[in-house]
Amino acid sequence: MIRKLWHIYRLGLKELISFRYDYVLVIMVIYSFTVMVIVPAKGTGVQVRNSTIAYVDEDQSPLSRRIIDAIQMPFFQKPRPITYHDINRVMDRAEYVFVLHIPSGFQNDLLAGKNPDIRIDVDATVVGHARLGTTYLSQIINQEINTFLQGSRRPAPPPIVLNTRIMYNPNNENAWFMSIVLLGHMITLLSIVLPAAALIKEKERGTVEHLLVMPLIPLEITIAKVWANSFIVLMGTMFSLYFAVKWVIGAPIHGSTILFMFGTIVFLYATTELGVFLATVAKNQPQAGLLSIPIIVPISMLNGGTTPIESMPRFLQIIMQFAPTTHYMEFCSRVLIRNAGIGDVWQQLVAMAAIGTVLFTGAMMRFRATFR
Amino acid sequence: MPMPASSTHVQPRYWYNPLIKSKYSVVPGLLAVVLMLVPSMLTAIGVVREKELGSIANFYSSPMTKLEFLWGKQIPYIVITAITFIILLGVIIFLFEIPFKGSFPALVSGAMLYIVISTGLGLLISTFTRTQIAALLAAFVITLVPSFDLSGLTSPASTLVGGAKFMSRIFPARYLLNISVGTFTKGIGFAELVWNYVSLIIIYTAIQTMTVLLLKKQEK
Repeated sequence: MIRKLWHIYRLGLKELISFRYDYVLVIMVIYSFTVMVIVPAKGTGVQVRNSTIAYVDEDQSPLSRRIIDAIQMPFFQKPRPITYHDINRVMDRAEYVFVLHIPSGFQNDLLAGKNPDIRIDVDATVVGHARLGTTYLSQIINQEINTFLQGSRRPAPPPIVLNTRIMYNPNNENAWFMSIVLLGHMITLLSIVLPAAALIKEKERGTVEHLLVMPLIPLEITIAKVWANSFIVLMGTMFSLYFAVKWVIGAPIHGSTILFMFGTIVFLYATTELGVFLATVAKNQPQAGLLSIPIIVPISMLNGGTTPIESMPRFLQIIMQFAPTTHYMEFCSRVLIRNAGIGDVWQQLVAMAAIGTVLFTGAMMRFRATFR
Repeated sequence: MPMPASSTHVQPRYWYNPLIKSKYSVVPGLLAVVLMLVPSMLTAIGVVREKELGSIANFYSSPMTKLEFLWGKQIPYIVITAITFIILLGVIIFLFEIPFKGSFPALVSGAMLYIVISTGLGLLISTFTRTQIAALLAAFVITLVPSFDLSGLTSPASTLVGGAKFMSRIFPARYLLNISVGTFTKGIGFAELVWNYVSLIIIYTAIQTMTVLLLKKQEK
């Protein structure tokens, strides 16, 4: 037993040494844990934010200017003036998501009680912004019109005041959560691809025969690859959590880092075994690469990070329960954002461990069949 | 805000997609992802494979020029991806039932240009990687996030800020997304999309130049 552990340890070290000398690989791992977490987290968002808007002001009245001035960050960028004939062109070229069209005589018609309309042209191919953005715009415009009509008079207080308390993320800071989602994507990608490619390399070069004629069993070879690559990913994850998520993005991580690390190890057990399983199916690197795309992309995109699991079709919800990423995403959001203890996340941990064990057993069975 | 969302003063008009169904923009938009991820990775591994397994010595010792080698490696992948593209078109139109409204030549020429770029990107990756693992990972890391998150598929490209805005502009995915969604759902053609083709050509020239500069005729 001790001998076996010693073998696994030494084989893993050999793996880490060969990793260290592949500079491009090292750079790519660092790049994915820093730039690929920071840049998209800071620059993109799933909700309506920073949306582009243009306006055609044919009224040129105090009211129309007030309405245009009221459209502000963070929901909308500064509105840009265009002419009526440009509307078609800017919509086709996807330059703006919204175009506001204030007809001439709007203010006068409004004061005369004619109930005129402001037209909003919406590029409905931008599905994420189209509906919600229109709602925001309507609210802004109507509020301006109402204050204008009532002058300086304050409206009567509404009978019921809704008091909204936003938990865990009071400013609706998008980058905080996005950075954790992206970190999850990177962990998934690396922990599947790295062990798979490491095993295929041995297979392709024929060195797996060297290993197999040695007094080693497939289990030892696999576990060595798995621990070495898990170690690389885990180090990257912790670095990314402190450097990218906490320091650069400034996300307030309340939860226990130790618990997060433990959960990540359980998750890595599942994903690295998925990688090993992949390596037993693929015959060479191009195959492994091709096979990993239809696995990594759906389990990353549908993990509940960008779209809540609850809003997916029922059958997809069931399928995604078998993906380790779903449980990991839930685990991360509970531990890192909501400061959950182990009592709140044990279900996720058990689920990930169970998925990992199934994959591990499957990989071991395939390993004997394909590598011998 | 206490104001009700419904309004008497505002009249929205939803262009191109009156029911605001996501499939009309997401499904054509995914062309930009699929035609990037697979070809760039396959091409990168295809070349690095020769380095790792040693058969690249044939190239080093032969009188072949750099461009002959590069194009010889690239063309098969372009052909394979072009066939994939035709299959994908069938899937989009018949399986997802997305009607094609715009200029077909505009879509095909945009997609072909894009395929040449994505395979070219694979060649570029292969020049600075030595092992297949590194090539595989580099292709993944370089293409995955920009083609999903920075192309306009998840959030519109015009709303990106900072580094994401910059990366989105130099990465080809957003331009094909404009062409694909434009021709499928907006029903437009070359005239409205011309800047996307210009951008793609500029990106291709940059990638090709970098590849020729980085490719060594002789291993050190």
